[in-house]
Amino acid sequence: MGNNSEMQVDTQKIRDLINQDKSMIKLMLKVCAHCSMCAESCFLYVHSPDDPKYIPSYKMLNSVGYLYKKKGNVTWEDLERIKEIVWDNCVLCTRCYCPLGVDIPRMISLARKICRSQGVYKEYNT
Amino acid sequence: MIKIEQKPFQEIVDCIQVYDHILNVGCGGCASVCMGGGQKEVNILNAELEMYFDEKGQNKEIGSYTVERACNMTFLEELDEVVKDYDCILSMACSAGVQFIAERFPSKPVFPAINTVAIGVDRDIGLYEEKCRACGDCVIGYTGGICPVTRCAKGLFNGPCGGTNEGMCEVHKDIPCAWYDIHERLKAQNRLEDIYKIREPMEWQNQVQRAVVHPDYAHRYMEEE
Amino acid sequence: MYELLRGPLATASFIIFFLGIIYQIIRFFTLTRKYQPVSRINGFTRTDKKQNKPSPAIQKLAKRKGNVMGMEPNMAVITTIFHILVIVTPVFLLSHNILILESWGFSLPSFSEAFSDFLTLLVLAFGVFFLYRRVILAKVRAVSSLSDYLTFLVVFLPFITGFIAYHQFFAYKYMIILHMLTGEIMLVCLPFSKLVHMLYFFLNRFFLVSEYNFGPGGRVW
Repeated sequence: MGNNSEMQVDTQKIRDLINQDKSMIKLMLKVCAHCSMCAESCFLYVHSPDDPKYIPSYKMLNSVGYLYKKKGNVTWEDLERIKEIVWDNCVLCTRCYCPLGVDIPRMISLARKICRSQGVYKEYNT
Repeated sequence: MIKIEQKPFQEIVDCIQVYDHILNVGCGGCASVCMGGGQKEVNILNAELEMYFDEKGQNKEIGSYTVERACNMTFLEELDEVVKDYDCILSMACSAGVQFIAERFPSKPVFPAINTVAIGVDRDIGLYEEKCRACGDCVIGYTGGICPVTRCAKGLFNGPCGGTNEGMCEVHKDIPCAWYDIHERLKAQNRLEDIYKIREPMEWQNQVQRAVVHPDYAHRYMEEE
Repeated sequence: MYELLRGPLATASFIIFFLGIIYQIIRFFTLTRKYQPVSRINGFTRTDKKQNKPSPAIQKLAKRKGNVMGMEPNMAVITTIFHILVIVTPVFLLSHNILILESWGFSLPSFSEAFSDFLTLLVLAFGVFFLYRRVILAKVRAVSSLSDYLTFLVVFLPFITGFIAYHQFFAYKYMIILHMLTGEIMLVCLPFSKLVHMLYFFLNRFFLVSEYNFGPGGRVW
């Protein structure tokens, strides 16, 4: 994405997107027991077992979880970091296993939606 | 996305039975989403094959590796070190990916464990519908968003045939007639004149291998005219 | 202090617990909606191509490789047993049932005290396993935070203090007060912290449409 330093992050838009599903997001973030039993269901994690960045719950908590906790008040650096989590560390193969039934792919795609709303997205020609 | 289906078990067995060290390569893209060839399916198939061959008294080593997408050569680089230990590769990626794998490792026999069925949509969990035949000349703008190539058994472009029967296709009583649905949808949108014009039949462009060159990159691959 | 914990606070914590549970159940059913699976398959399913699978015995064993029993069998077994025990142990405890009988006039059946003792020790052993997992395993450490350790304390302190109090190892009066206090804290915290997964395990895994659900699933978010 081009240089965004002149523009501010539209935190209100992020808040609006979160508020559309606020109850569900809040609930899912709470229900996540931080057990990391989802780890082995992610083939990216299975390839690099010492790297926690591929654990589905880690990805969810550090993308949507972070956006929710900060109430949308994030910086461009935060969004770039979240972009790396939800695009580079996740292929949205939607096969994450959660013993508690948390819909992790839905959370990741919500994080992607929020990033896209700010003009932050993965570009495939770089 | 591409929808796939696992091959009959015996067919897979027949392909690999002469080899002792087999690598099963899964794909984290389309194959995973339609639950046909992701990491989980690779693990299950490997377990089935190992148990099957154990029963027959044959000892085979079947490894597993799931790549992010088999249709991109950069994601196949990580296989380079892995395949050295195996005699052959069995892949649960879609056939496009399997061909890429075969291209990258031309000296290793490569077998598909799945049949690529369709470009389709996720209708419901575990239910995938074909929606597109990749004909290369999309006309659904004129047919109310319904593809006559995919949905009409005869691929007609100018209205239903004489076999249409109360909205159903003559091929099977449970198959809706595509042109009936097209007509109803365009009628509801007041766009029936779109199908009143005679259209030339589909000039199938899939008889030879096609390539898509993005205009921004034409200069890299094609000579200036 | 004892009278306070034994009387009104106990009642209050139970009421908060049950109200909280009901609130969370209602929340689940209001946030999700009924979902009708499609009634018709559009298109030919290729039943002419015989699917041809290996023998059912092989299929059954192989399926396990794909699910959590194949991925993390130790944790799957331990966590299932632990969760059953963490409910069963206090509910069928003789001491608790005597108190309930004295307070509310009914009681549930109880295990023998020796058996309950054994169950408590099992729970504590599993607690050590979970703590080990959370502290030592990198993948669990990566998603852990202070709230996880606090939750661990909230859950296991009632068991530890109860065990010590029952055996009257030391400071019985303080132990029993601590036991009641930590137990009531756990009850009150349960519906409003990550412990609500007690409820949502069943709600999510049985009602939601998902690859990993147990029931047919008839709801979506």
